[in-house]
Amino acid sequence: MIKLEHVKKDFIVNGIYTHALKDINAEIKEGELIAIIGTSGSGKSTLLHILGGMENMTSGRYYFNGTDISAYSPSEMHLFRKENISFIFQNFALMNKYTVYENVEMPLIARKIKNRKKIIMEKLEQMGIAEMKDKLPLQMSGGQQQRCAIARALVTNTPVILADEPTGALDTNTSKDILECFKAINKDGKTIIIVTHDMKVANNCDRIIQIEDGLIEDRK
Amino acid sequence: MILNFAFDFLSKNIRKSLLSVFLIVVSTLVIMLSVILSENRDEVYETIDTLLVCGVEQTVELDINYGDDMGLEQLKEMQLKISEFLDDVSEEAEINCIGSYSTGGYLPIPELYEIQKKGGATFDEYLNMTSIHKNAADMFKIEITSGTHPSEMKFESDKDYLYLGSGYKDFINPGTEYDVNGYKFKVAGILDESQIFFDDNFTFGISATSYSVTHDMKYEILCFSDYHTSRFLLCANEGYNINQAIEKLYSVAEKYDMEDYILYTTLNDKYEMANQEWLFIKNILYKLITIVCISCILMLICTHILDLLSQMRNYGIMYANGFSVSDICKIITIKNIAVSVFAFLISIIICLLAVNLVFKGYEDMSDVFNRIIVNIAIPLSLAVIVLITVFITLFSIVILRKLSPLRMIGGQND
Repeated sequence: MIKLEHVKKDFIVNGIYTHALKDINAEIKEGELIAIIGTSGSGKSTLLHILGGMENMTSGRYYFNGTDISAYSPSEMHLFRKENISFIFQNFALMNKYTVYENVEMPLIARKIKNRKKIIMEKLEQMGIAEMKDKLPLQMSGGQQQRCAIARALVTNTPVILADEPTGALDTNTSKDILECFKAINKDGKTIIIVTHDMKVANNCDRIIQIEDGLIEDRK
Repeated sequence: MILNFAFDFLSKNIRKSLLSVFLIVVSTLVIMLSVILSENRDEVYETIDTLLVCGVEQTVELDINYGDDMGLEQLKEMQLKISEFLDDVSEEAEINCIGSYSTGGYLPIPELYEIQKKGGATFDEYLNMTSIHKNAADMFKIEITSGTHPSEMKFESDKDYLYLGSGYKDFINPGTEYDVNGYKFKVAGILDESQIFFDDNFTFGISATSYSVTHDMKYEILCFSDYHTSRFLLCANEGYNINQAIEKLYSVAEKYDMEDYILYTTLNDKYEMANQEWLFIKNILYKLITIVCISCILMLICTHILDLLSQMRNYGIMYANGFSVSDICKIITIKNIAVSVFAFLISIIICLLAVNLVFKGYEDMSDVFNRIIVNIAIPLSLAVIVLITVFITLFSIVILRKLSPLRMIGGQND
């Protein structure tokens, strides 16, 4: 499903040239639950963002379902992302002045999907937060907020879900719950790629990709 | 969809939206105010120029001051002398007309007083009238709807002639005569609704607004009489300039041994002198206006930058969830346009109310609206608002395009 060949990403921060990703080669199959681990600054989030089409790579090839999307223009990349990728962030990335329902509705509005209510309620029920649909994110616990973010990622029915430290801001029990959610979604056939430094989360995934110093190493 | 989000952002951040509206309203009003004030000077000049048949350039104000230590007999003699002198002067070719005018309480005519009360009578029981010497019948632009125009009237010396405001037209007919304690009055005509006249505190050129120079005449009365006050206006005849008229005035005054009693100032000089004072005030005013306007614009830009920063996370979330950068830019643009249009409409309403007040006494309000508001104030304010909106919108778009959604949301690159 996803294939990366010799992917490099360089940053210039304050005039200093940094090689975030040096030579990444990886293949991810459809329906896999993958963890990307690594120390802070190793380039794991950068890799996730490249996979999600949120950042351009400096060089290399990115194949998605056999199509080379490395040279996509910003608008082509936007369309690609809209059709194929959903994001879950460590800080939940919910709009605080919008209700749970409105937050989950947003990706559907962006995709001009009609009959949204049924889809939204279905996903909220799946995540067990249907009764909180009218609450604002800040009126909910961290776990509930992350469930809301997962529901938002699910409503668009994209084949790939990218999660950047989804349990980073949660306690152990809540992390466990969220992980179970991911497993259940994965069973439905979604490809899930999780960036984490929590080995308990990583060990529950099908495969671990370890990144160190911008280079990739398959662990399992 | 985009519209919904734009208005949603506005309503969910109502305080910031209102602050932006307030700042735009203040800067727009300040701009409009400066235009109105500067244009109003010309309105004052034009109002007076229109009201004087010979125009400002051809008119001089005279002060015939013969002292206040005269006995009654001497005073009567002096009045007679002045009257003869004025009759002589008005016969000269260089002089179109000379005459005095004054406003005050006159003998009671209850029938007229009852009507004047509707317009807010100034004196108890006494009629408020503007008295004009019969010699000055051609001096002021007077429009009537019925009766005989003052310039065509054959004035008799034993009575005074009244021209009543339009408020009297349904109750009093021209030709009606009154006798009050031996003083005879005759209604000679009814003034047109548009008729205005100088205020009694007419200080030409100094007043900031035409409202304080003139007033409408709906419930007022003009009285043409043989009575002279000490303040006169003299108009030069066509083909002569005002200096020639003054020269002639003094040569006639010499014959009457009165040249030392007469002081004069041309209305044009008064206007210029007043303009010098006005220039000084205007200078300070414009500096203040510039400071207020620039402060408002800077505050507006700061408010928008703060708003952009506080909304950055939301824009990033939208971007990460399927909205394109151009969608987000459209939302920002619509938001800014909506705030600007709303603020502009409020400014226009306030401005129209203010103009209505400032130019209350002006003859042709639609002309004022067209010349000052429609042609200058609105385009100028609109241009400033458009510039601010375009600048703020472009600034937001440039910032948005430079940042990745992750940076907007607050993600890290490791």
